[in-house]
Amino acid sequence: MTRIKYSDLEKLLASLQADGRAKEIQLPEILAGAKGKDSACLLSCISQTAAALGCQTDSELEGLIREAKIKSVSKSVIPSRFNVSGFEKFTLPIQEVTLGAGKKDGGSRKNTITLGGEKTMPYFFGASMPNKNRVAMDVFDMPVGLAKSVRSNYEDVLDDPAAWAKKAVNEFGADMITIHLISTDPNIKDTPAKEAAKTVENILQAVDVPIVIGGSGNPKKDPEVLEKAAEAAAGERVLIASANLNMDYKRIGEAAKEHGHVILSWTQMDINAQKELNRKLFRQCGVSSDSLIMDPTTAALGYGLDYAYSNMERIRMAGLSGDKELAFPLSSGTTNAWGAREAWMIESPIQEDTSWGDREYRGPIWEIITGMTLALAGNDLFMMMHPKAVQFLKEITAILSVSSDSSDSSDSSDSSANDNSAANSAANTAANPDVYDDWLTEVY
Amino acid sequence: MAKIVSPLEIYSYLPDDCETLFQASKMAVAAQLAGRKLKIKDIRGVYEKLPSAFMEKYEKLEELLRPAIAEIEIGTGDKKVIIGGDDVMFRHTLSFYNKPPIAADVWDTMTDAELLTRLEKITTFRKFYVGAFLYLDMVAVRSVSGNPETFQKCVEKVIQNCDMPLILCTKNPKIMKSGLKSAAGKNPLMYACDTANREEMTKLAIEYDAPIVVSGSGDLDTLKTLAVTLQNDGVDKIVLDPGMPAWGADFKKVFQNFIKIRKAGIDGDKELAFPLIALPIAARTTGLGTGGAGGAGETGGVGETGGAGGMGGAGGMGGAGGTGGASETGGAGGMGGASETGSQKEKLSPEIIAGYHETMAASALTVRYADIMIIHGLEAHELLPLVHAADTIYTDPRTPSAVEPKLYKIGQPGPESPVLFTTNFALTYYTVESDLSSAGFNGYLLAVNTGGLGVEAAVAGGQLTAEAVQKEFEDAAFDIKTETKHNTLILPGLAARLQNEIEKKMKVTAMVGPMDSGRLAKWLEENWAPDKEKNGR
Repeated sequence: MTRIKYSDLEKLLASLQADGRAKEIQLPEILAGAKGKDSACLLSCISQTAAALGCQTDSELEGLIREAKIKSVSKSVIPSRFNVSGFEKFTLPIQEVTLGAGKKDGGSRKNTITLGGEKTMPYFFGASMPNKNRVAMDVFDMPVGLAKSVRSNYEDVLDDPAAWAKKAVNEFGADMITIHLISTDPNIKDTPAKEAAKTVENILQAVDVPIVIGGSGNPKKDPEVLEKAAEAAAGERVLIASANLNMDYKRIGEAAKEHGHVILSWTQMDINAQKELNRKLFRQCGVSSDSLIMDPTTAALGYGLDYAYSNMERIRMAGLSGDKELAFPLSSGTTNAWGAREAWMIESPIQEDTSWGDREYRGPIWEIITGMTLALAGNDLFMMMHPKAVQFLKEITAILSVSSDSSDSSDSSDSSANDNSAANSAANTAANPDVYDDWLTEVY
Repeated sequence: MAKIVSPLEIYSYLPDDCETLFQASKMAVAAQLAGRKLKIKDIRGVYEKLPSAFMEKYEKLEELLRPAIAEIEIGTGDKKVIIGGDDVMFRHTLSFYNKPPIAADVWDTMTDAELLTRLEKITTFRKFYVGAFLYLDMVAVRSVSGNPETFQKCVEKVIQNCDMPLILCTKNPKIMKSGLKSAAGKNPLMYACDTANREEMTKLAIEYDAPIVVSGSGDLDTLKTLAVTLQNDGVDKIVLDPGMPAWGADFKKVFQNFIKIRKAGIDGDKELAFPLIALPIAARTTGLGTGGAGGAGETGGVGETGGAGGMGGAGGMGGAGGTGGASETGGAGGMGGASETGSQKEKLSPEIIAGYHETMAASALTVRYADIMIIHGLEAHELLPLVHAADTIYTDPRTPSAVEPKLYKIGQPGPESPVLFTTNFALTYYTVESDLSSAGFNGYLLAVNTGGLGVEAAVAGGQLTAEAVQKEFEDAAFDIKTETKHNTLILPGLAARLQNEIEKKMKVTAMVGPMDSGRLAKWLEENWAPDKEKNGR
């Protein structure tokens, strides 16, 4: 099939006309016969043109066309304006949910954290992101197996959850703390629920940020553990993690409601199950709509993140598009990224792989990219482990969610950078189109 | 927001006798075409043999099936890449097509030795994943010398030593021409045409019939103006550059530009319905010449710059720095303090930070519509997440990623060989399978039907239970007692909690294997066969 198009022949004609040769070879008539017709007609037009111009082959004709095109390249541009319509189908804002309670609300948190409120997909144009993404850092109630590069940050606090929590808040910038009561698992230490509640109290004493209380994941023991914990944290508006369809979610949902907490509704990568559990928590336990956050399950980069991503994106889009049972903030167990062998293993076990490099740098970026990908799907709250991963995730989500319109963000940074020439030149980058070419000649 | 063609729309353009022509029902052929499992190009031959009236139908069908975003070819031969071709804004509504090729850069001021070493790194990188390898795809040659001859020689050397498709990077038409001469017949991508060089670059694109990037330096009106003008001049192999400055607050604008342009294209703006190029390489330029200015995100950065902290990192974070959280969360302040008290010992070097920023930019834009990208960092911690991110987003969500639940033989197992199980999630299965076979292992591996969940999730969710394992062995008609001499089953470390129940139910010895199958080879060496242990006692 020829690659020559009708518009090419037109260009050729125009060029011949400019040279005063069009008439003698009757090209205008040939072309007029082909305009707007099908490909058979175009083909015959091409062969007539080729014959009229004495071309032996298609490529000879192509050469003439090329010359004609080069000759006729516009001297000036055709000014055009960019236009795009918004995402009209997003009509329902995501429910805002506040975690933590200060003194006047019967708690002891220094500040509260509000999640949700989005009106469009994450960081899209057309609506600003009303509440920032937040990070809750994991603390365990007993020493646990951790990847080396994670562990090295917590070596001094592994058997003191309160000190661990303090360190995460004061040194690593955690917005929240998640206390995982894993020692309560009958297969681990079977710590009594009452004793676990004590640990929760200690955490609440040690830090003044809002907290998440996690069970051990044992479906038989968790209801009791989380009931006691919810009671111990009454009034603090913690996030109770979590209720699941495979356990007595009713006890947990009711405990959260009774003591004024928020419930984490956890399902396993199944949008329908998520709807079902949310509905049950609302209807059977009386959870109010400002007290539910969803965890649709996080899989690590390379280990099912494609499912986790699309499941989350579907849930968020369904919510924004009007599904009242899915319009809630989302939470991710981003720490799951450390389950990927790429995050922690010294070297690839596969002979044919090129070297996996230094795991000290590989681990944190695995957690960052896992979390960031889910941020782009709509995730609001991240449960994380590595301090550096937390920093970079906060950096990118802060950049993407900055509320001012992108066009004036450079203005705002100008004013703050006026007194420092180095920073000033960097802050001005947006105004100067040359910055878009820097990489061509200078790469760090 | 999407162009999705239903099989019913296709149906009327198909010949009635599909059974003979395609060995499939008419509806099946329609469904295959709609899902792009079957390409329109591949059935042209069938139409050509039919009465000529069918060609008209073929053409209409071709038009109907043309993707919203144009497909552009770069390079030639086996390594040729096709970019673009998407129809939807969200992958779950169909699938994204043509995984974005990753081009790594080289530049014309490198010595021969440096160039060869770098090309070697680029061309040999590979990462095993689900039964295949992930690779880098292209080489981008940057003109740093500003000298046409130097560039020409460099492109020649690259072509001599590597068969990947090329991107020629310069905004100087003279230099571009010298590169195009070296790459004649290689169909390289030209980077880039902008307002200043448009006429000359357009002529080159026509003369060499090469695909070309148009760059609006971050301005969408300029970008559209250039795209419209080039198309009017008869250029139709266009790639759009939304623009990418150094890492910082402007990344928000970059990110939104990708979304805006793609939405315009999918919504039917034909003049912008072209593939998009991302330049994560530009994200690395953070902090160039401004000391640690890029560091808003980096641990030490905020604390270190001290008083400057307010705008601090301004170079890097710009506007976002303020809103970003430093003051509000109190987090950044805390971090600063930390670096003083020394409890956060190692700070990341500028190289690592640049690499993280590049990888973050590349991955974010992979999610949101980049169709091709140029990167610089070749460290494993930069490449591994990136090739996986591209694979994650471009995996067809309609393809079930489960293997058939059954008993698989690895190598040539006998009655002395170990018996293991895992789940039928394709990734889990292939990982275990490749770990075992690459260690030269003989044995039985049972893939238990967990509905495609991995071990950890399936244990937590109740899909991987002692009953499920027992039933799968029964379905496979494999009785461990009679088929083996050891009557032993090895559990995945992540399924350790099933040990007692499996022993009770199946009357076998259940051994708990390692948490990660990457350690299986070593574990087997130390723990297999169970007899060895007994003899030792």
